[in-house]
Amino acid sequence: MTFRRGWEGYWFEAEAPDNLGICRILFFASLCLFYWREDFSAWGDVSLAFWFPVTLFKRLGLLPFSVPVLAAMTVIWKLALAFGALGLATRAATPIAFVLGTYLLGLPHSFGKVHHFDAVIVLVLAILAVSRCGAAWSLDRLIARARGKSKPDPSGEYRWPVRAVWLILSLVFFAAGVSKLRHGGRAWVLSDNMSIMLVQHAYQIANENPATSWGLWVARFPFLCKLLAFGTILIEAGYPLSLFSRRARWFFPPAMCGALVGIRLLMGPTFGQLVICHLFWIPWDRVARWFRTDARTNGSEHGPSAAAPR
Amino acid sequence: MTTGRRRFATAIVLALIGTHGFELARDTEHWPIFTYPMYSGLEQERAITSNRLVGVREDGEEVPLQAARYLYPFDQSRLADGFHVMQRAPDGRRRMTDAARDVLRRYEARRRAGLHDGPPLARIRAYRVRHELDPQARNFARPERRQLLAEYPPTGASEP
Repeated sequence: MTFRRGWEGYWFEAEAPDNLGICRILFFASLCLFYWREDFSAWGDVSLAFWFPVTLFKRLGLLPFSVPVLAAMTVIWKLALAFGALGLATRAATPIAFVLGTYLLGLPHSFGKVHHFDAVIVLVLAILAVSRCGAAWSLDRLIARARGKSKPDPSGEYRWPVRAVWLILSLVFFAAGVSKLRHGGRAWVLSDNMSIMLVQHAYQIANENPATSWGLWVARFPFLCKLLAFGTILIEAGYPLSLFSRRARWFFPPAMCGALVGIRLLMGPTFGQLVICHLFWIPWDRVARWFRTDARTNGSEHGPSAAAPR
Repeated sequence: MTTGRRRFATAIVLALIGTHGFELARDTEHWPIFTYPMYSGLEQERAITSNRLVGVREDGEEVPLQAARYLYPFDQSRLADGFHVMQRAPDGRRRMTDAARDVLRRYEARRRAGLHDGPPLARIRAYRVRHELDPQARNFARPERRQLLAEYPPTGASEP
């Protein structure tokens, strides 16, 4: 009974729709910017000699569409992302963004190598597609208000999607930490493993080359490498604590963003999409409230007094 | 929030936990549910083996094709690993030759369209290369060992 009450409270305690609405704006707008120049149509021109479909594509019998079809799908997907950010026709835009996103983002992974940087995006799009994320901070809301509809009451509808994204991120990073302990064990931290990996990445083996040569410098200091390896596992395996502890939320998500940036600088691989998903950890409704209060305070300190009659 | 919606949301949450837990327990991956095993293996040898694509100019000189603008829409690791996956496939040899032809065709088409500044190429070669690690990676262009995986068109033949 206690577990059930705790579960219900954790996922479905009534909440105003503002936080989810702002998360929606920032997430979709970030994706729009991130993928603005991405043209998936080129995959329609790649030889099927490279074709090793991911399981989802294999099961559904999906193949690459032709270049014009992929170009059209790309445009529609980006429009759906833009509509999602604006909150216009959100109930239609978010499922379209999810379905097309699943295909377009999964397509390159069926050509020889599965990268791990954007799978989370598909899962988050799925959550938003079935959520009521357009209930606030959206053009849909403005239209509804113009038609005389009042603001939706606080509800669990606006809480569980944000927490589901937290859960996804926690599962992802926890799995990464467990994988390292399972395959590498203690030696992943205590051996020369990290030092060797840092030098290996200078041989241009990742999707991008390291943004700096600092990896080679760090690799010269065995203790620093071990510390880096320990920190990585600590942040990854400990990440799910953020689900339950507010203090942990101040440490693990920012530390993970730092680690993802560090990977880009020292080793090369790009995990920008995972950083974008971290937007969901910030309580945007409180941030917005703080700004409003601050503006009001400033207004009362400077505005009215300056304008006050003598 | 209606009971139906609450059950639906609960089912999604449980599905997320279940699918990730399942993959983690079995140490398998099915996109987009991963166990994120990259970099989890233990590196013990100060060496690296990888696949490399090089272009061959008319005068026979080899030029590295690492930059994404030459390999578009691939990146260097997707293409290199693609050759590794093809190598293990039953029809690997045919696939790798087709793949090399495909890379050459796209490279030349994009070069003619002014989309990159690479030199004209007569052929493409894919190698499996091995480097002993140098602390500054100074031997990047000079692998200790290399094995030809595929070439298109084969030496002696001209591009059809």
